[in-house]
Amino acid sequence: MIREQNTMNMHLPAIAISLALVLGGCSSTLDHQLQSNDRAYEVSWSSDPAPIPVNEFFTMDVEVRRDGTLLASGDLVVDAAMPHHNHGMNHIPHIERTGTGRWHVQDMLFHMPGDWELYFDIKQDGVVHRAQESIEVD
Amino acid sequence: MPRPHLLPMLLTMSMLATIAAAQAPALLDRYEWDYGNLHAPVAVQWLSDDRFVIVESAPVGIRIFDWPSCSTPIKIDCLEPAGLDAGPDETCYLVDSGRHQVMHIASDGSTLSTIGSHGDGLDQFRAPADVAVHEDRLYVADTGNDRIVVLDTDGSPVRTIGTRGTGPGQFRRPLAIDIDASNRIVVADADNHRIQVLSLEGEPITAWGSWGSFPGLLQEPSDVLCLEDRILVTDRLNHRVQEFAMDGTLLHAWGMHAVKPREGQGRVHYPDALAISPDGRTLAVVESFEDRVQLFGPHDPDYVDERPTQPARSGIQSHFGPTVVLDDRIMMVWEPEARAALVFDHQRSTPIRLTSIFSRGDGPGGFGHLADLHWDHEANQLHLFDRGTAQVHAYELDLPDPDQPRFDPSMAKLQTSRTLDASIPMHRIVDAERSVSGNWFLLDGTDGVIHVLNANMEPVDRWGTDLLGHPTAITIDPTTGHLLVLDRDPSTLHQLDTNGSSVATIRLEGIPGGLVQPTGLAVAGSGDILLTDAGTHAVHRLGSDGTHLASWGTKGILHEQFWKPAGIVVDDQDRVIVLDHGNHRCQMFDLDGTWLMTFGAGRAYTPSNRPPLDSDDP
Repeated sequence: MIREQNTMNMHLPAIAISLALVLGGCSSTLDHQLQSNDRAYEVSWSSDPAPIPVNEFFTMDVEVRRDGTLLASGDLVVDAAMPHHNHGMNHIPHIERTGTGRWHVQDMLFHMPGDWELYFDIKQDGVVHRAQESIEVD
Repeated sequence: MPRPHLLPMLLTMSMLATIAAAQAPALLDRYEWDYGNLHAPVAVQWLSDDRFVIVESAPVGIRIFDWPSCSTPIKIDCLEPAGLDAGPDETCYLVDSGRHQVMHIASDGSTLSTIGSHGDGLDQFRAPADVAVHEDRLYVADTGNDRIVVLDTDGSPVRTIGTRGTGPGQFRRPLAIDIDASNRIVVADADNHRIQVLSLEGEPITAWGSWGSFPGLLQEPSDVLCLEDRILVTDRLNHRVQEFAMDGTLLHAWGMHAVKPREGQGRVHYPDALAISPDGRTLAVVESFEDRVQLFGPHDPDYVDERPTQPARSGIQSHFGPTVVLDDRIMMVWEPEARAALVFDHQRSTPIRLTSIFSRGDGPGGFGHLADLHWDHEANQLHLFDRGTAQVHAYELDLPDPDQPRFDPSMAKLQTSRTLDASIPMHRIVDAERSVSGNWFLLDGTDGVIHVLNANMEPVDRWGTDLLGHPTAITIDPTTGHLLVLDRDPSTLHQLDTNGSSVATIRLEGIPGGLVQPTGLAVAGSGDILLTDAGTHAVHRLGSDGTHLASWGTKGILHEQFWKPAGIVVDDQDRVIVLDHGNHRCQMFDLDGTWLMTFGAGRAYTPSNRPPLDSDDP
C-alpha cells in the first residue's frame, strides 16, 4: 500500500505535467497534423464528418501552435481550392476563434469530387504564413 | 504647316459634348472605323466639328484628325502625357504623369503654366493619371499618392480626398476621374477593381465592382466616361467596355477580344481611355497597346458579328508577359489577365510548362498587380513583388526531376505573404533585384529611389534621391556585382556599387534612332548590356561602357519583329530572351540578334520549324 502510494506519488508530477501540456496546448488530439510551408507553425485539424464528404457541408476544428505553444495572437483564414481546375469553393467559410490558438470553421463545402487543397493562412505581425494539405474527395 | 488653334475648339467641344451626352443613344457598340499606326495614344478629345485630337506618348505629341487624314505630330513639352480635359476658359489641362504635374495649355499647344510638383503636399502629385475640369475646379487622380486632389483652376489647393486602402473613400491606384451629371466624382479605382462615386466634397456615396471577368466585374478599370444617364468604363484587363447605370447596375458589356493581338474592328485590346463626340453618336476607345483608336456608333440590332471568338490558329493561349525571369533551368512569366505566374523548364530545345501559379481573389496570399518576380534556385524560392496589394509573396516549388519534366498544378506552395515596413512604398515599386549577399533592392519608379532591404526584408538603406530621374529597371552585372539602373529621363544607365555609391553614369546617346520608351534591362555573362525599347520596338546590345554594339527588331508581328517588347533576360548560354509583350510571346536570339526561337504558352517555333505567318496571324 505504501509502495503503491509511493508509486502514485512518483507518478503524480508526470501526470500533472502531461495534463498541463495537453491543457496548455503542447500537443493536439485532432486528426491531422501539419507544418506551415515555411516550417514556422504547426497546424492540427479535424473535420466533422470525417472523412470529408462530397457536396455536403462540413465543419472543422483547427489548432495553431508556434514552438509547441498555442497561438495567443494572430488570425486564421481557412480556404480550399482545386488546383487542377483552377477554382476554389463556392461558399465562404465562417471562422470563429474558440480559444487560445483554436478556431471552429463552418460552411466548408467541397462541391466536386477530386483533388482538393486545404489552406490554413495564419496572419501574425503583418505576415501571412500558409499551411496546406492535399485531400482527395470521392 | 500652321499650328491649329486647338483649345477654343476644345472648349466648344466640351460644352457640346455635355449637351450631346443627354442625347447619346442607349448603346454605342457598333464598330465604325479605326485609326491605327499611332504612337502609343493615351487620350482623345473631340473638337466642335467632326475633328478630334489624339495625345500620343511615345514619342510625345498631339495630332488632329480630320477624317480621313491627320496632322503631323505637334510637339508638346511633356514627359509622360496621361489624362486630358478641356476647361471653360479657352484652355485645356493635360496631366504630365512623368513630371508629376498638370499642364495648363494654350490654344497653340504651348504651356501657359504648370500646376503642382512632385510630392504629397496639398498641391503636389505623384505620377497623376487623369484630370477632370468641373466649374472652376480641377479634380486630379493623384495615382501615386492614392488620392484625389481638388484645386482651383489657378492651382490653389482646395482639398485632398482619400488615402490608400480598400474601404469606402479609399483608393488603390486611382487611374481616372470624371464628374457625372449629378455633380458626383466618379473614380476608376484600378487596384481595387471597382468604380467609386463620391460627392464633390469627398463623401463616399457608392461603389461597385470587384476583381473578376464575369459581366459587371472588373480588372483594373482604366477610364470612366460619365454620360447623362450612365457611366462607361474601360475594363482594361478584361479587354472590354462596360456600361453601368448611375447606381452601378450593369447595362452592357462589349468589345471582348479573343487573345488575338491586332484583331480590332470592334474587339478591344487593353482599352485605356474613352471620349464621346459632340453629337453623342460616336465613341472613341483609345488602345495605347495597339497604337490605335477605334470609333463606335449607335447599336445596330441587325448587325451580327460573325467572326469566331476562338483563339487565333497559331495557338495563342495567353497574353504572356510583360515580366520574365530565368536561371539555368527555370523561366517564369507573369501574366496579368490570368493573375498567374507561368513556370517553364527551358533546358530542352523548347520550353516545357511545369506549373501555373494562380491567385484567386484578394484574400490571404492573393496577388494582383505584380511589379516583378524573382527566382532563387538554390533557396527554392520565388518572390512575387505585388504593387496591387503592397505585399511580397514567397513560394517554394516542388520541382520534378530534371529528366522528367511534367506539368503539376500543385507544384507551388505559398510560404508567406509579407506586408513590408510602412516606409517602403510597395505600390510604387517597378522592379526588384537581389544581391549575392541576400540584400534586396526595390526600385521606386515614381520617386526615383532604391530601397535596400536585408534578407529578412527589413529596410536598411535608401539610395538615389539626387541621382535617379524616372528609373524603369534594375539589375545586377554578374561580372562586377554592380547594380545597373535604367533611367528613361534622360535615357541613362547608372552603375552603383552595393553601397549605393555611383560608379559611372552612361548617357545612352549613341543608339541608332534613339531611345523612346526604354523598358527592359539585362546583362550577359560577358558584361554586355541588353535593353528593350517599347517605343521603337527594338532590342539594343551595348558594351559595358555603353558603346553601341548591335540593334535588332522592327515593329511587326513576324518572327524577329516586336510589338512593345518589355522584359528581357540572358541565359547561361548567352541566349537573349525577349518578352514580346504585344505579340503575346517570347523570342529568343543569340547576342548578335540571330533569331533562334519563338514561343508562348502553347507553342514553339524554331528556324527548322518556322510556321507560315501571315499578316492576320501573329
